Amino acid sequence: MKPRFALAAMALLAFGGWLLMSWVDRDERAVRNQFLALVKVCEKPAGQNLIRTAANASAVPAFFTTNALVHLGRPYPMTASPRELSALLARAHMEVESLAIGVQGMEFPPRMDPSAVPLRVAIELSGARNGQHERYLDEYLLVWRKERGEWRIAEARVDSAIQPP
Amino acid sequence: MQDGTAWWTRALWGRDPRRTLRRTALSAALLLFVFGLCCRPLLVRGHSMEPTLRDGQLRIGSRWWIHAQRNPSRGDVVVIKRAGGRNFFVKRILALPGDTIAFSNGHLRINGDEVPEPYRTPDSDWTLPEQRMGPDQFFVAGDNRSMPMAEHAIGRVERAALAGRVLP
Repeated sequence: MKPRFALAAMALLAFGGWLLMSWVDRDERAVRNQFLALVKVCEKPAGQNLIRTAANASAVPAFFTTNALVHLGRPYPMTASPRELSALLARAHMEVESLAIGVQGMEFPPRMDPSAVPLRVAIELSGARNGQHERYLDEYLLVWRKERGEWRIAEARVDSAIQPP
Repeated sequence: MQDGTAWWTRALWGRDPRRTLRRTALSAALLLFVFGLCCRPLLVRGHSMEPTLRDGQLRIGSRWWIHAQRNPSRGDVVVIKRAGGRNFFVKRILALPGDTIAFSNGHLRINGDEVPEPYRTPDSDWTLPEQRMGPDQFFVAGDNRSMPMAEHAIGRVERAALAGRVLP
């Protein structure tokens, strides 16, 4: 094997990788990044101080469109506006010692509306409350729309393969 | 080097690049066949399927089963798809399409008859009013009934969401 052949093969691989990256929808990439940023805001590492909790809670509405509706799954099955969600997150962070959100899967269903990007996510919520460990698995369908120059969640609802009775 | 080639080239391609390529292609095809069509390894996480499956256990999920027939029986432990296709629910099928299901003080009733469940934890107080499954719906639940029902992912699953069966 000549070194220049190996170099050419590596260059080909790098080109293939670049081509693959450029095929990934830019909107989908932006939505994915926004979602991961939202996950980070919603998490609570053990020992997080009150100022950080308040800052995170106040950052939540920025991830949603003005009239967004959020249908939450367990442990708080309810419908909330972004403002209510902010208060809910602050309350949840006060109640738990820690909260971790594991993103177990993400997929982009086909886009029917070019102005919206649907994203299905499988998440694992795990945390400690009063010394007890709790864990919930859920799937959400998040519909993202561009508002004020950023992709924001316009609708969120539980969309699990297992529909509760 | 004995044959004059650089060490890193040999590390990358081996002594005979064609043979290396053939072996790589064969291994990839074999892996694709085994894990793409036949089975998938499953690492159990959580306690909802105890005592049948324990946290941290490694099991094999059969995919042949799903290609051959998507008609699971009552009592089968099945793999259920989740978004992204890398994580799955593993649950037991309790009711088949068209069945009615109910829980009364932890006892399972299918089509009105009490069904013994030797696989589950004995202490259960689950109660659920009777409901009928749709033509392509199955009712699934975990075996650990000592967990409160609210903390458990139980309910209806469409036939299309079934992705295989956990081998015993």
